[in-house]
Amino acid sequence: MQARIDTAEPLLRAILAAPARLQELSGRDWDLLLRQARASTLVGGLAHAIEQDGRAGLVPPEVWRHLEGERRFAQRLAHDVRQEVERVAEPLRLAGTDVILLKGAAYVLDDLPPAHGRSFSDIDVMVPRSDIAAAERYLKISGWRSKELDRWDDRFYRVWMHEVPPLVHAASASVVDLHHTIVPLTARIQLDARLLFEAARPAALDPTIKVLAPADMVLHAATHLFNEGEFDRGLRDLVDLDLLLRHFGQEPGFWRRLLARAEQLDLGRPAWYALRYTARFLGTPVPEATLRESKRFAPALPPVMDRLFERALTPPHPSCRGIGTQLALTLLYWRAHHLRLPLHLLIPHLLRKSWKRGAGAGQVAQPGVPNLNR
Amino acid sequence: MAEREQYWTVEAPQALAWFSWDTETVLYDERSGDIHYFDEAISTIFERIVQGPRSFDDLVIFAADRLQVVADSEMEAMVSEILMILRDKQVVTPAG
Amino acid sequence: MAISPVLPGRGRSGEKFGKFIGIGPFVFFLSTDIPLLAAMIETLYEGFPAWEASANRFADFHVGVHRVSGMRRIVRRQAVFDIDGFRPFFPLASGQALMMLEGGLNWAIAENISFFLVIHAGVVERNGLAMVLPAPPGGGKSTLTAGLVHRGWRLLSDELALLSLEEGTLSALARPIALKNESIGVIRRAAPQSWMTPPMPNIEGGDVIYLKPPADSVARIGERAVPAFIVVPRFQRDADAALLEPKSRPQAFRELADGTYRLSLYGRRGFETLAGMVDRCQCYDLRFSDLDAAIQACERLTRGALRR
Repeated sequence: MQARIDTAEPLLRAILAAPARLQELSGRDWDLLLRQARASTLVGGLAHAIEQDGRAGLVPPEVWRHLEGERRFAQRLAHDVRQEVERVAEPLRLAGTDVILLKGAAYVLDDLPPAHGRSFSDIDVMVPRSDIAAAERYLKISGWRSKELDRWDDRFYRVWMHEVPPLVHAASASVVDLHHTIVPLTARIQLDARLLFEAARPAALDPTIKVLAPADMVLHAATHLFNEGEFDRGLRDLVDLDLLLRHFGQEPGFWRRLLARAEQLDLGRPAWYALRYTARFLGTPVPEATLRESKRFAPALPPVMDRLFERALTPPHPSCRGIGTQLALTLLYWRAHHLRLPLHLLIPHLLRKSWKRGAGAGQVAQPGVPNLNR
Repeated sequence: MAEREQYWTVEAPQALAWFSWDTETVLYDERSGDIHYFDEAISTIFERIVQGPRSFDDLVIFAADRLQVVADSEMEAMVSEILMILRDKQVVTPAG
Repeated sequence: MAISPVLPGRGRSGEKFGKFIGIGPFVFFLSTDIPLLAAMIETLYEGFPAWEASANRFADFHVGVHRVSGMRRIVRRQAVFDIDGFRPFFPLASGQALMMLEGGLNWAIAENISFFLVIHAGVVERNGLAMVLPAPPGGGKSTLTAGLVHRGWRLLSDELALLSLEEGTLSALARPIALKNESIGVIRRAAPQSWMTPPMPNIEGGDVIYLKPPADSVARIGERAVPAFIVVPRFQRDADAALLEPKSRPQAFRELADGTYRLSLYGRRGFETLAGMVDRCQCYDLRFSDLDAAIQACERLTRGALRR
């Protein structure tokens, strides 16, 4: 049983790649599909994928009500995101700084497919490095406050990561992460963020907000997924990549531009992973020529990385993550941190992180009647 | 335009849903997701404007009649304040 | 296709109890390795539709209470609640396992359902008319619910009102009722024939017991009810025996809105459904110091409504 857990294709991933296969499912399968989707925060995303493929009729009503309900919630959340973005954009306009909206909020404002059925957390924005202090100041004047962090984490964020510690809005409790690049400062890969600002374009639903150029958006998503070592949302991030590639892939010359840009920004490796694994696991129609040309970015041992990522890009659910997967995740975690931090900083940081994890952070206090203030 | 002649109308009526019970109103604004609670005075003004664009004068007279008081300067001040509250919540807006 | 073949509830050694149980509009897969909890589930959920673990079924949620492994298990005999492989709460003593399960079921419904409005309120029904009992803390909602139910009212729910967005009707869960401290004695006297679990220590101190739902309420779980009354119970030791005071609808709406889980996510539809219910109902505050008097006041309400 254990061996099969770590080798079988996860049900959710198989269905996302080919929604027509829903007709093969029985009661127990539907049960597993929903639980894997929940674990992956892909319930709304699954609903959207099924609808786009015209297969909603294949879903039994007792299952569909969950999917449809979450999709509606996601619609409301996307609407709210637009309001929250304004709370960030307004002070930054006053600061007079260049701003690029990133990730989930950008998908909403640019009306892109990954916005559908999505749950949102923080708002990510990028400003030029020289403007970070001013940006933080103007945000704080407008009601944003630093999250409570201890000295070590605060220093880690500011000096070694690419982020100012997250800011929380006093009234709405939304969170904004200020970035000045899309890779960590200390990473082996250095990136000239000015190139990103030069290529930025107005968002479809609000031209006063800028988002990354299509190739940059894909490369940012790829870097985030393949270089940061956290895979709880790995499958969802892969789905985002699939949707972005399908969407932008319709523009003439996109695939060529993507590879050229990857070369220019020195993000060829994450690009290689993104193209390879979206095609392999989700059936993304990446042109053959593109896959061939991306080979120059391949790692030394593709079969090893294939095996690791094949396990990591799965729902974080016991039905598809056994011991073998845990090992793969650990190795990828170390790899990501190695990419970010020099060794003399990596060891103390990892030790501290694992101490914090053991202390049992992150659990709600007690059962009983749920707290209405959540 | 002088204040008295200023017309007022509902802003974004398609984004609003409300229930009026007796003298009070509960209103939902789709744009912000906010729920507002209007007491008798505010409800009276709101409901009048919902029927169609109204002038300030009209609102003062109507409200005075409904609340069974004199349409004096105190009444005008109250209507003024109510309009400010409703405008602030982006429920009503000057028309024309 | 080689789908991951894990069967629900399996894959854990020492599994003593695992069953699909239909609870109102939902199906839960319940599992535990604590024999006493298994026995209580069998008793408290007697009469609910059930299927064996091997059944080829879909469940809305997989929940369980299991012993914590390792040193703590031997020293402190602790257990923890899990849902779909996730543990949202700290462990408690094994003796509180039922509380963890019931609390966990509440959490599962309140925080993971998007196709009903879920309101923190009791719901009972008589003569085809449903009465919603919002729950200010210490108001005596559970005591009143238990009292009404043992006087022949149908139990839809003690904790969670499920309001349909499409139809505006209320759906039943008919789950066990939690009673605390003095209420235990009060209901024991009022309904000596009812089945109660032994007392267990509550998290906030004092005792809690669970009351088995009446068989009739369980049999009629599928019957949806039309809301007719909103009655906010406010137990006050020094108050009159029972006093029903009409309540303004906006005020009732506000209290219900405050008691609705994740209301903002339902958007306009949620507002219209909730306000629609308030619109249809007569609303009251019920101040009481005597349970019998409170029950009679509620009964007068439903009799009065019939006459119209």
